[in-house]
Amino acid sequence: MRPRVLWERPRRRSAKNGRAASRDGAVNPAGRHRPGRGGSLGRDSGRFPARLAISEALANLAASPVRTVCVALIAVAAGAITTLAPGFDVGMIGDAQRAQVAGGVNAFRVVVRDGGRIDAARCDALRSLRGVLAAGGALHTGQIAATVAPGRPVALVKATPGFAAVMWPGLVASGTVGRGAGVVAGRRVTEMAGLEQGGVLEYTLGGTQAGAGLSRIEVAAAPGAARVYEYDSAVVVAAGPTGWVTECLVEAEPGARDAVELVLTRWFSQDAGAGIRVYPWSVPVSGEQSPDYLLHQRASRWVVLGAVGLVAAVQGFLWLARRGETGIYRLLGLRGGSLAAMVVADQMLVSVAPFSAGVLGAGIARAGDLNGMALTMTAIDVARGYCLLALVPLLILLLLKTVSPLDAIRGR
Amino acid sequence: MRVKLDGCTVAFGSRTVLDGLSAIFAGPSMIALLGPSGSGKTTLLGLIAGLVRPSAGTVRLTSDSSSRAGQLPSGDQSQGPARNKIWDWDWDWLVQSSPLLNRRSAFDNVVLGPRSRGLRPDAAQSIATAMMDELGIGQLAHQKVYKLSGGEKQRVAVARSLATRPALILADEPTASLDASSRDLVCHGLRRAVIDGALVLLATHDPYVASQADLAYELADGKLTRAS
Ligand SMILES: Nc1ncnc2c1ncn2[C@@H]1O[C@H](COP(=O)(O)OP(=O)(O)OP(=O)(O)O)[C@@H](O)[C@H]1O
Ligand SMILES: [Mg+2]
Repeated sequence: MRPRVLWERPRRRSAKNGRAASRDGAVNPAGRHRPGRGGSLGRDSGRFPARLAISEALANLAASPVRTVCVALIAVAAGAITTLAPGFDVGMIGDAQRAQVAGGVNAFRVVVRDGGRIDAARCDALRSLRGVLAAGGALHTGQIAATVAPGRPVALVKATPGFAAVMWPGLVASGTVGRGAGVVAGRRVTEMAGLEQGGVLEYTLGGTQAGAGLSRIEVAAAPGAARVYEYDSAVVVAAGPTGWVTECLVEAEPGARDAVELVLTRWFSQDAGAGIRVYPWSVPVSGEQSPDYLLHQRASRWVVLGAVGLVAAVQGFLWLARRGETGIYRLLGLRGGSLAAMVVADQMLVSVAPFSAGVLGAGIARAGDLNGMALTMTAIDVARGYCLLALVPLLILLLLKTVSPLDAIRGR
Repeated sequence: MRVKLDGCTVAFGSRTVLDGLSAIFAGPSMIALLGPSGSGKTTLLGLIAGLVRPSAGTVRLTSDSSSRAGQLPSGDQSQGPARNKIWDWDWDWLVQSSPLLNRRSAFDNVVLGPRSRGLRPDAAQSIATAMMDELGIGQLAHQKVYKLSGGEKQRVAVARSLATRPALILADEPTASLDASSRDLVCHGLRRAVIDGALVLLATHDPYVASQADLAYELADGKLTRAS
């Protein structure tokens, strides 16, 4: 009985004597050069020098300058868009966070039951809002004596330093709030009074309340805070907290809502024991508007996938379209490592380098916006981009594997 | 170079193209394969190249070093014995319009052959120049391939093949679309390859080309017979 298919071929001759290493005992090196498949042209691998493969890759890029430039521009765009995309998300997240602050969305009401009580200073330490009022922050009605809008009534809150910091997160850095300076709050007041930072606001307490009369406070905060709030027209005067309260409102940093909620019971139960209850102060913004959602589900995650996917698709298509060219090299013995070297050299020049250029260019152009969260996101996305780009040569090699070199050079 | 076919059968569906075909082709020589269209010439070449899988039988390729003892092509003896490694047996594939790197110069295409065997650039270049001159395309060396005529391209492909010095050249109607003078030059090139020690298997319909061969076989009804 005849053997079915035995594809036989000689071993390489040894370099030394130039004779066939095995004249008759021709063998099929296991798994290699299977007939009818990509490797069927029967060259022992590794003969085509890798350096030649690389120089040929470069020469072929130079030989088709228009195509090379177009493909490289796609990679530049991919790098740029990968770098820029998180910036848009951070803008959106920032807006959502400001909206949360404005809405008091991240606030919790800490209530003491069963006759317990909370130290107001403890409440203040968590930069609470209501707690300050409860701890003795006084609400008054007054008159603005500023030249722009004389006689306009304002609400006055004697508040702790933390109050301002809670309401206007940006103020903490100014360093003045904690020193007990007065703060003018809210857009409406500042517009009305024509205030600027470092200016002085004179106000008159109305009615019969204690401390009535003309007072001056320094404007410590940069005015124009966008917060729309019931205290928008309040003048805030720093004061230390005193006494005991039964209710305290705590506002969490944007994005830290869950963590703060966990901490609260433990924090207050030192004073009030088991009678502590923590409620959301208002219904949190959920779904696609919440910063948390935006942060974790940000659309820009997918931008890098799309951008590098496009590069991969274009490269895969081009290499398939150029399979005749590759087929010639494979006919001449280009295999394994040398073939990979050719693809990688090509990809370094038309994908990786232009992608990097796009990243750099966009990074420099938007350097001002790239801080904090935006920088982190961009770094993550760019790193992902490089990881994906590293897969493109593998994809190309896999695609080339599906094409037999003879089919390729015959245009199939 | 020896190609030994032993009881090779190739069938596409119910159609048996090669029917238990046994033959030995030994080089260096030029062997013509004749036969009507559809008789299986291309299939036979593909079988030897490993492109077509036989449903029965074996194909055995053996490199015969004594036939490869030939020296380097014209005037380049500088490489010495290390060259033996480079001139390992190989094959090449020529078709009606052989594949070339179209955007590159003719010279680049020809140089690529010996370079792919590990020759130094200067040695490869002198071989390429010699081969191109021999095939009458020396003056076109720096022309881009896509600007060349069909006959010129085919000669570039043959020049590359010669410069690469494969042990086996499978040529499938390499002269089909060429004029008489291009055809003569291609035939001359293939004969030159035989002198260099190659086994050339040439499928053709052209009696003139067949007359250039050392041997001619006729393929009909899946059987191979010696042509007169
Ligand atoms: N891949 C294939 N699938 C199915 N049938 C095929 C395939 N390749 C070839 N054939 C058939 O096998 C037969 C022989 O084809 P082949 O190409 O070998 O002929 P040929 O002698 O080279 O003809 P020509 O002189 O026209 O080139 C034809 O009938 C063809 O239709
Ligand atoms: Mg044919």
